[in-house]
Amino acid sequence: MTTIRPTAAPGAGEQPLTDRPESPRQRFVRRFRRERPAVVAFVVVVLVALAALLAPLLATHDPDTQVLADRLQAPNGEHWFGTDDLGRDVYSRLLYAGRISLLAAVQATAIGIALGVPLGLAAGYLRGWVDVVLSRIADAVMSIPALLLALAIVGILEPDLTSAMIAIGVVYAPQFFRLTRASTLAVREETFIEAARSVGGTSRAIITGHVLPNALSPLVVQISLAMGFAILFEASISFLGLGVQPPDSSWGSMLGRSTRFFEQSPHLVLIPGLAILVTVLAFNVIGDGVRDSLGREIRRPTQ
Amino acid sequence: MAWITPVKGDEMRIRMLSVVMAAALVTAACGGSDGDSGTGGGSGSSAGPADEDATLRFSFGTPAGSNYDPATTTNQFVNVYLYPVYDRLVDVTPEGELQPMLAESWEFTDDDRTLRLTLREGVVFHDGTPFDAEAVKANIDRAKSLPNSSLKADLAAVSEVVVVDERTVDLRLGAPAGSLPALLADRAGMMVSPAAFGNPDLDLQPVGTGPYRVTEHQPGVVIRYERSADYWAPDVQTLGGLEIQMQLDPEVRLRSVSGGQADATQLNPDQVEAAEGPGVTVDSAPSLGSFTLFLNKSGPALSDQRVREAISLAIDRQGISDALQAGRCTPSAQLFPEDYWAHNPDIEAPEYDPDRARELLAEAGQSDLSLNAVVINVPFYTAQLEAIQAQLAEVGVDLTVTSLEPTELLSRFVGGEADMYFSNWPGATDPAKTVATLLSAQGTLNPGGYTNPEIDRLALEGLSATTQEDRAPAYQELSEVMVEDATQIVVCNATNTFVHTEQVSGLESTLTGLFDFRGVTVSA
Repeated sequence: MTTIRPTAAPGAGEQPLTDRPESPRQRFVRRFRRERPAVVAFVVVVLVALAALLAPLLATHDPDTQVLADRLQAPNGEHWFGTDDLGRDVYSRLLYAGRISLLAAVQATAIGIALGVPLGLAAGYLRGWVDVVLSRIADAVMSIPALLLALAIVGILEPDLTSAMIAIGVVYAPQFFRLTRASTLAVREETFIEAARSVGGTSRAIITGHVLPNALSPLVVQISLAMGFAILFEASISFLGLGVQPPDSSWGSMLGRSTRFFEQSPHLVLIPGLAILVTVLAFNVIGDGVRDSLGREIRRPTQ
Repeated sequence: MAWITPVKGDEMRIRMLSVVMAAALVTAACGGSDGDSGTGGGSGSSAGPADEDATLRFSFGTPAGSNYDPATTTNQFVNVYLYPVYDRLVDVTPEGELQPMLAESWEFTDDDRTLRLTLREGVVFHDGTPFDAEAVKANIDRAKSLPNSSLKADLAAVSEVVVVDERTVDLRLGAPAGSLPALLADRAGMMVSPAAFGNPDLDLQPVGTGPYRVTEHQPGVVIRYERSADYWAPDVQTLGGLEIQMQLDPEVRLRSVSGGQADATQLNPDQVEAAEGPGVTVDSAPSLGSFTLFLNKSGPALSDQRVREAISLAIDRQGISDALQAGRCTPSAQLFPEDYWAHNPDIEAPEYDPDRARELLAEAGQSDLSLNAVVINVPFYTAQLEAIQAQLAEVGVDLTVTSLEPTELLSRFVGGEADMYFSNWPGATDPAKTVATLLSAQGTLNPGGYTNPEIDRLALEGLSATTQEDRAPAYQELSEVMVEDATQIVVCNATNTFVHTEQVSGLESTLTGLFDFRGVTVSA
């Protein structure tokens, strides 16, 4: 007979030897710490967020001050990352642009969640015509190429950052909707839901008290991935000049305005490009790590 | 998607490198050049003899929508696509001098109440209809009567068209019309075959008397032309065919020439450095264009002359020209550039004076002013408005900038939603048209309906004389009033910059910064 023990395989993190069973959070932290790349990525994201948050302290120049005579300088002692086409300090602008890029990603993801999750819960739990109607709408939205849909929405609204983020939020909503609906469908057939219903629990109480907590894990993974793609989406829209409006800039708009000077001043393209690359990559790696650390543990039989 | 850009750049660099290497190889091997590859032409090798069957591929920045009927289109830039097909009654040189075209001569008679045109003989429309006085009458009557005509203002002074004989036509004038001959060098003078008036596809398939005729038209993408038969001026019909590609992005346009997909294109001045290279020639020409802040003078702040003047003084014109236009834009306060007959040599470019600007704003009680401006969504333009934005911030004006698509942009400014609009005013074949567009109560770029009796008086005076010498003083005085009242804020007078391969010669820009392809050759 094979005994299955909850102990992890040799070499993995140690199971704490206490009497109390491990809480889900402790278990997540223990497992996440095993995901080395994800830990590194997490540190990167924290650093990027800190840099953005502390931009006023870290910046060496006012990000909007132009010295036209000092335009297109290569990186030097005075301007660590050089100057842009209007003679502004690229290092300082990069910090402030990071604020906008990250804030934009948070906004977009929040809008996606706010739209997608409640509707997904409703569709999955209530089934019937609610599910049919909402699912078809989600299918319709997903069938439109994401960037085109976002551009169309920005075109209808004012071209600024908030519109761009609403647009990206709308693009995201069906993804959150589908994910939530799928988890809800799986959970609603469980016996504990039946039990809750049989003691007179309202739909609302059951959804918030029992269904949502059980559908959360995949959502957390999706949020991390969505953050990364939101930065990329925002960059694309601002690259096209439809997102953030001057004098503010995001990494995408810094990149967009600089492609003209690629031959003369490649650093203007490379620096915001790298910022986008590193941050998006970090969010994706975190997403992978979170996915592997949540949900059912892959347990291995003892020898 | 965005992270791909550095890679794209690398590809470009590799491609550039290979182009340079290919050029070196070609030069070393035979010293000749390959007409198809465009940039393959070795540096130093001169263009060979013109190839009469060659097609010129020109890439132009502004698609002109889907209406190519000269009488109803509203797009200023559509002329590029129309010039090859439609001859005008009058031609205008890049310097602004009027020349015969379909009209061999014209004169004001009957105490300036008639403009008599004498027409060229033996000209035939592409569909076989003969060009004569009846055709001129039909065209002008059509342009005056079509409900959606965009030429009504240009032809407002014409009260009646009278056919005298086959070659002579009289335009009876109900108002001073000193600008009329020059306007007949624009769309008002483009002659459409009267037999094609009823064609349902006339807006896409033009039928004129010009050196080329349309063979293929993909709106928004490309128009292809072939040489027309029996053209009346064969010496300027120097191409076998013409292809005008439409590409809004100036970077893509430049790359299409360096990459061999086009033979010539228009550039922005900030691209000159990137454009210069083996096998291509960068040319520039003075133009009537002026980079200008158009103002809605009906707002609470901008209705005050002191505020407008303060904005003008707060702009560092030389700084913008040097940094963002490669020094190729002449700081100025007046719309009419040097060497143009309506130019006023006594008006000096305003000195950059932020202190005086602050004083004026304080006097006007607008020390803490917020305004908004719109600009086309092209970095060359947005960067300039951003520079102005920063300069205005220095004097306490908080300017919100919104960059938009061309159509959206105009509807916002014309609709009164924006205080300012930054653009390059391309100029017009006659100064009267510029004045009417910018300063008459109904002018399309005068959304607030600003009027000034002094300007109206001088505008009429400018129309009442019939020669450039007699008309010039009125426009010089007009410029003075415009600058004093800061009716719009001119930043600088533009230079028209364009690039072509070494196989192309004879390309020059027109008075209004466009291109007419007469006399342009492509060598084999």
